[in-house]
Amino acid sequence: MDLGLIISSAVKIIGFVFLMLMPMIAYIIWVERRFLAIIQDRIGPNRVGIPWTNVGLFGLGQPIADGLKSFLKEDFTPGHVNKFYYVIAPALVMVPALLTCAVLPFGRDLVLPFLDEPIRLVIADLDIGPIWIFAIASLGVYGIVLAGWASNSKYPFLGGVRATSQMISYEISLGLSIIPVLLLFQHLNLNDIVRYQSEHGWLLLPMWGDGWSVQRWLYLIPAGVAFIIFVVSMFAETNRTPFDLPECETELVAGYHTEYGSMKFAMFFMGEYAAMIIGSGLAVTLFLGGWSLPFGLDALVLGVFSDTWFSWVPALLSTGIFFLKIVCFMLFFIWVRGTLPRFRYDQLMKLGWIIFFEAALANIFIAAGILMFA
Amino acid sequence: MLNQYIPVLMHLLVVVGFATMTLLMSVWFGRRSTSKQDIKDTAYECGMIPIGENQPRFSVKFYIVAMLFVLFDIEVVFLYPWAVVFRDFLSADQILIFWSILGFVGILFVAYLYALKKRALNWVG
Amino acid sequence: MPAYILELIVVGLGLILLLLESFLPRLGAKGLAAIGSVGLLVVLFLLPSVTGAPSESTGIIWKFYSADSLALFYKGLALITTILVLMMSVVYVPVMQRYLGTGGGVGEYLILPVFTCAGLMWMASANDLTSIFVSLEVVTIGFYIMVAYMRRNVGSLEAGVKYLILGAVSTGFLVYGIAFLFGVTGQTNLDVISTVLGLLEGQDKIILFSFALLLVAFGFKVAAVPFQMWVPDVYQGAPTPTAAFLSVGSKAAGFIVLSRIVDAFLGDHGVQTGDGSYQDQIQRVLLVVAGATILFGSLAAIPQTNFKRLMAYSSISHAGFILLALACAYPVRMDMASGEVVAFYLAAYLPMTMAAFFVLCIVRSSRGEEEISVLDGLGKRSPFLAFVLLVSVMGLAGIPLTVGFLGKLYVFQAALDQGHFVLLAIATLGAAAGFYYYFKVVRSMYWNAPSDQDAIAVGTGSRVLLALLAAAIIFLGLNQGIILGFLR
Repeated sequence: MDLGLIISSAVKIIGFVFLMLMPMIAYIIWVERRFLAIIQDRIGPNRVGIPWTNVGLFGLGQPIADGLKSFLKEDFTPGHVNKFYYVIAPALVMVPALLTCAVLPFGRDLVLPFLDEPIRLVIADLDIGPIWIFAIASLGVYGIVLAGWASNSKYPFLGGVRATSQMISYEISLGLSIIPVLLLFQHLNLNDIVRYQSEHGWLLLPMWGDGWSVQRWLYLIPAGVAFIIFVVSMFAETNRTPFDLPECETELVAGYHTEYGSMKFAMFFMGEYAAMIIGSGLAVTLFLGGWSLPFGLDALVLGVFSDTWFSWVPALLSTGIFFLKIVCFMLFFIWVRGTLPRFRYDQLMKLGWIIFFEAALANIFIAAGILMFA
Repeated sequence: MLNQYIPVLMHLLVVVGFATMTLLMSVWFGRRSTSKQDIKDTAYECGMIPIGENQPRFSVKFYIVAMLFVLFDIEVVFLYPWAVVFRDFLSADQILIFWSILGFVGILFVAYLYALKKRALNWVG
Repeated sequence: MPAYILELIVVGLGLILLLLESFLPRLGAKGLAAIGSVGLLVVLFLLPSVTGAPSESTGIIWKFYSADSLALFYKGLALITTILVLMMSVVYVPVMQRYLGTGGGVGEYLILPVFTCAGLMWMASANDLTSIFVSLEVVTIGFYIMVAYMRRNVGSLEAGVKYLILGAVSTGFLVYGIAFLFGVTGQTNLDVISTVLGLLEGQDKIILFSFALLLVAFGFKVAAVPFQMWVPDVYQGAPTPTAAFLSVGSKAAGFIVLSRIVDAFLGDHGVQTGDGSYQDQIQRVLLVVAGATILFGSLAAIPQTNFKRLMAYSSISHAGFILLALACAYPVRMDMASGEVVAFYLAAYLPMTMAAFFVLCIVRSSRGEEEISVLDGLGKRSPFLAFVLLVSVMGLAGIPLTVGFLGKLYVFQAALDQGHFVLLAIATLGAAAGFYYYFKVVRSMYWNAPSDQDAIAVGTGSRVLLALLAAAIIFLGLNQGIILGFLR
């Protein structure tokens, strides 16, 4: 076996999952609390700073304190639960959520002066990108339904059933919505999709390269519809407001994780936020050019750093851009949470099964028609 | 070919290991309460003593939704390979690639209309 | 017009009916049945004009689909059966509505036969293991629903569960059989498999094993002993039109696929009886199964008091006769191949069984039971129905001048040709037992006193259809050339 592959993969896994994703999850929760507080004209968590000093740092220590608290609390398993499934359910939510990021390209190929070949900044360069993400992400349903079922309690049970039904319903429109994207790019490899967008214009911003064509501008119609369906379905998939019915506190206490505490409870949260980040990452990758800069600036950057000793700069820059885009997307998530009220369950199902399903299906044929005739 | 999947395997191991470690660490570091209280062991129902079954019967609609999901998710999966090869076929056999998928989706769309009309997706009343 | 267009038309018809049923509920069972049967009649008239595979093979579909004369013949059988079942269902609808509960409609019951018919037609043409499997599932899934359709009736539900579980088990056997056969030959097309099997040396055991698995699977479908245990319960519990459909349509499709598979295994090189090759052993297994089926079906039918159970056992014994014809693979002196004998027997079986079940449907819709005693005094209450049933059981028993006689005659000839004298004796015994238990029906109709005197109302449409069926039983019996003409 290829030792280089293993070493580089190990570095990428550690770097992406533990140095980028995990801190991001922790701090997005803090950002969410602060941002919501601003929206609601409150202050939010602003005190936890460096221990035994008065340095507050705007409450930046909060996630660390929360994490420590989760670890140090009593790991309590109620007596009425089905122990085995109760314990593995949080892991079954978190593992698929973290696993999906394997195919997400988080930067331009890294060219290092002392290596012959460029390193692809994606953990596994699979040719089945979106399918892998959908396949693995849908396994997260098992964790939620098992959590609800194994808790042996009414509210979690109802929450689990609702969550299952909601997540599988929106999986269909989610899957259908990206087919126009695949029709245009003819690739399932996400890295190729991003590279194409970097050269020929983002899907939603075709303003350089080959993007200036009638076909691409007409294609904005199906692409825009697809983007809306994709983003809204992603909200539903990750059980976020306005679709947070599985855990709506006014009806179901806390939904499927009512009976959970300490780190197991925190794992549900980590899974949910990881799913949000990776969902945003997929949306950015498919529709908004992934790690690339708009208006053909990529070529400019490559030109400036063409020198051998600085050839690694564009890759790092693109990684920064990718995460910047994700952060903007996450802020949008939080903004929506602060703005919109919750849907009713029948409205949720109607939106998913009737409006989105039909719109996405029609959208596919509109896209195909544009490719055929324009 | 399968070399591509070695990172996936490593990733899987790392993530599963991380989840396991998290679960175990919370057991090791977590404070343990010495007193055994019965009230702590009851199912949470807003502080009241639970009444009735812990897993109540739920609407059959959820089951119908699950069945319809299986049907239409398979449809989605079949659309992916079609979408990827669509533009290659445009020059070769335009009629085949467009009408064959239209027929496939059409049959399932009839099924969808039928389910809709039979109120399988109706959650009101 | 290529032959596969027919199936597409039938599926399209089913989809249209499905939409009509959900968007125009006013149409009712009669309207659906009328549209369905007219559509199927159109397809039936299109049947002679279709063409088979083009000489230079174009299109991948011909690798999975054949349109030889046998396939077209079975397609015709499937279409006629489905039309009759639709007609019968209209008569049966009042009975079903009693067992549907609130919110249950009968619309789907009239649409599912159309989809099942498409499956039966595909099965008739399937010459590849994959298309056999898919079309078989299309048929079976339709039947699962139809058998359990009367959902507030314990008998129907019991029949549904039994049929579902045993059907699933037999599908499992089928898939294992296909897997083994594919493992041995590396092919799925039956023609190619036949050639490859002829070239293989020293693989007899595994070939026999895969054949055994396939035989188990199709034994379930065609109700051969020892896989017949579901038949009486399912026939008794299922709605009567479905029982008729099962006994004719499902069986015919099972037999054509079985005969194609047996053909593939036996190949076209002459088999010597007793030479120990796997072909010889396959033939012997088929003979044993056929003998057991005839014997079991005929003897177990004797004590039955429920008419549908009686028909179930009689259908088992008929399956035995057809298996016997299948086992006599190459009658030397007759001018008919065994596939043609099988087809003839099934064509003869169609009008007889359909007429019997149709009469039962009409009687049942006025009386609530299905015991043989429900027929008491039918000769007085409705001489017409009694006469049709008389003709039908005469045909089933194999009395000369009916088409049933000819079917049995060919089977006996084929067995005689191959010198299977033990089987001949068993078949004679079975036929003799048939005379006895079919006579019970006749006795009940003409000798027993009726329990109530009311005349039974028979609609004009049913009257015409029954008259046609009775005429077909006698007319086809007098003129054997008609069926043979269609066959070639």
